[in-house]
Amino acid sequence: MRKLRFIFTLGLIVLLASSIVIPPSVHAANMVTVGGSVVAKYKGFSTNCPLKDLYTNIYADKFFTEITYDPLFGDPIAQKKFYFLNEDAWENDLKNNQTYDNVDDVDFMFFTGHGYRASYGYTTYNSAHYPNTNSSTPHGYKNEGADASKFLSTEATWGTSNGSATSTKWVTMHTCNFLNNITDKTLQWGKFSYNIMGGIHMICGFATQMYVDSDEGWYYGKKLREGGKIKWTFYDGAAQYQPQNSQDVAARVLCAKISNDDTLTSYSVRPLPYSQAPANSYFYQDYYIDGTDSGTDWTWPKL
Amino acid sequence: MKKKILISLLIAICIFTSFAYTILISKNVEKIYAIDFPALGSEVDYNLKVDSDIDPVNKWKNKNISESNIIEVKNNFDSQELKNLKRIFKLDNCKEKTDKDKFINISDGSKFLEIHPNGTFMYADEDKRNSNKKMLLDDSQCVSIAESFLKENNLLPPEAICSGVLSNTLTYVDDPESKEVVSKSVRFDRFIDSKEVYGVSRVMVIIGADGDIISLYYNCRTINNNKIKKVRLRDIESAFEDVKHQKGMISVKDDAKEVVIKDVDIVYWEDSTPSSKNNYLQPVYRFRGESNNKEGKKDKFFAIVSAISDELTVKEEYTPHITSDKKELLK
Repeated sequence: MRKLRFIFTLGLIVLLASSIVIPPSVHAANMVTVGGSVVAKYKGFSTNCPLKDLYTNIYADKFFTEITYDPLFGDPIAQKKFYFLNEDAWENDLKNNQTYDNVDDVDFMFFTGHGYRASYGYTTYNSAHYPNTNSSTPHGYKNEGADASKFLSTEATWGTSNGSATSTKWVTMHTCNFLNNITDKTLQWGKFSYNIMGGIHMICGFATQMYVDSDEGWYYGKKLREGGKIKWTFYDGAAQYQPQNSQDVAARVLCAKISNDDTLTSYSVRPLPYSQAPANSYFYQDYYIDGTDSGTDWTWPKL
Repeated sequence: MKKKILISLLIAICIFTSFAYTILISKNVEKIYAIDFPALGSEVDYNLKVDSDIDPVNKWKNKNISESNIIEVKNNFDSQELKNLKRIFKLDNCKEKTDKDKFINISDGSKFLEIHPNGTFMYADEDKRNSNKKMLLDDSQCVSIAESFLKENNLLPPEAICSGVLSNTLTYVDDPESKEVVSKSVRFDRFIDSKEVYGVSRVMVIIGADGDIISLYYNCRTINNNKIKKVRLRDIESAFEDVKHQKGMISVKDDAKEVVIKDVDIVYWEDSTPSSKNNYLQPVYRFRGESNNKEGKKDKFFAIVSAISDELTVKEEYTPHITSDKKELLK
């Protein structure tokens, strides 16, 4: 009996000690860090901005909840590093070399909010709109084109900051037209800059308009966590959540060739930045959910 | 005597409680989830007009249509269906795993099948969809392959028609001329009571360069013909107010400056996304018309708004729980 009591007490001590000594996740140091810059309130932030509010905060909440999920058995694979929402989300979140943790400091970065078409508010296609001006001050009345309110593809080299490699590997732009590389020849308002590929592996986004369904964030986060290839997981989400439409909807992934098969836990070495890479090191792949630009006769719906 | 009264009282309470419970439950069953319309991720600044010659809103009113159907769809799958899907995709010998969200995953290392709790599913062959070989098959060949596959395996919904073929491309950044079609998506959309079904209600079969089915998205659910109910439609004026405020789902060319509404009708909306709990096809108003850009180029326009009143539906609530971080000077 005494022996039994001794074994039981010893077992209890070992269990208690291990729970103190062993950190909650053995891979915590290797966990993928995730950052989000998210705008849900546009009109709701300031009447200066005429854009509609979106439920992107719910998209982000579901995405973070899923991607950082800590299973009962096993370890989480990702952790939130920062989540900037509405007045806390600024254009600088996506630019290099800032004084606070931003795109340069995470493995996986995402933006969701309004994007543009070319010429709206004097922008190019490839922009992410913020209703503020890198502060809690709103942009001027209907002045969506204000420099500090729009992030452009020409304004960063994701993966390189101040001449040094950063930890950034993947960026998702869940917004309209960020990866639209059509140059508006009549307006000549710039075009997509591939130099944004400064060492990151891929950008997932859309080449056209798209729609925000918050559950797409849930699905995307869940499938990434479960080990899906990032490129295909993004397409699978879009294919199953983007609604039927009469306009073009194309999910696009801009990718270093060596990073095609990346998952969050198994990925290529850092690709050479686009500006230094040999020819044909980068490609983009389009998956159409709706549309006519794919060169086929699209007849639905009929008017 | 007292004992008898007590027993009678207890029985009466039991009967009353079960009666009240049944009424409550049945009331809840009658409620259907409100449509959570996806919002356009960019702003289009257009003036909305109505074609005064056609006067579509009044034309609709004069039709005096006050009711439409809501149709229940299947919301699960059984072991026989699971067995069939495993057979169809040649995954018979693979074990299924159920995750925390009740997704059933079956994989042989390359091919995988993912079945969602509401009965929708997706399939992909990872090796084949990564091959990126140049597609040489034309659209009609792809339609034929997709249609035969769905028919042979009893997967083509009776109401579905092939609505188009979309080409998926790969382009090297340095050489835009290198753009190559690497697969084609054959899409099947549904028409129920001769009405188009919007939302996510489709089967999309992706054909690879060699004519193989490299992925399949099955995002529609079988109609339960015994569960069709009539509901009263909301008035057209309030629906049109929603359109004016760009509520609902708007499909508009991104350079539109002016939109002219020419037609109003009723179509259906189905939400058969993997996570959907909305088990009804609901009637929606479709306002159709044309858009003009500043050069006068015309394009299609439609706006979809709910056609049933709010009191018949319940909203699926979600309260975000992750709060925004404040910026800190960390470097």
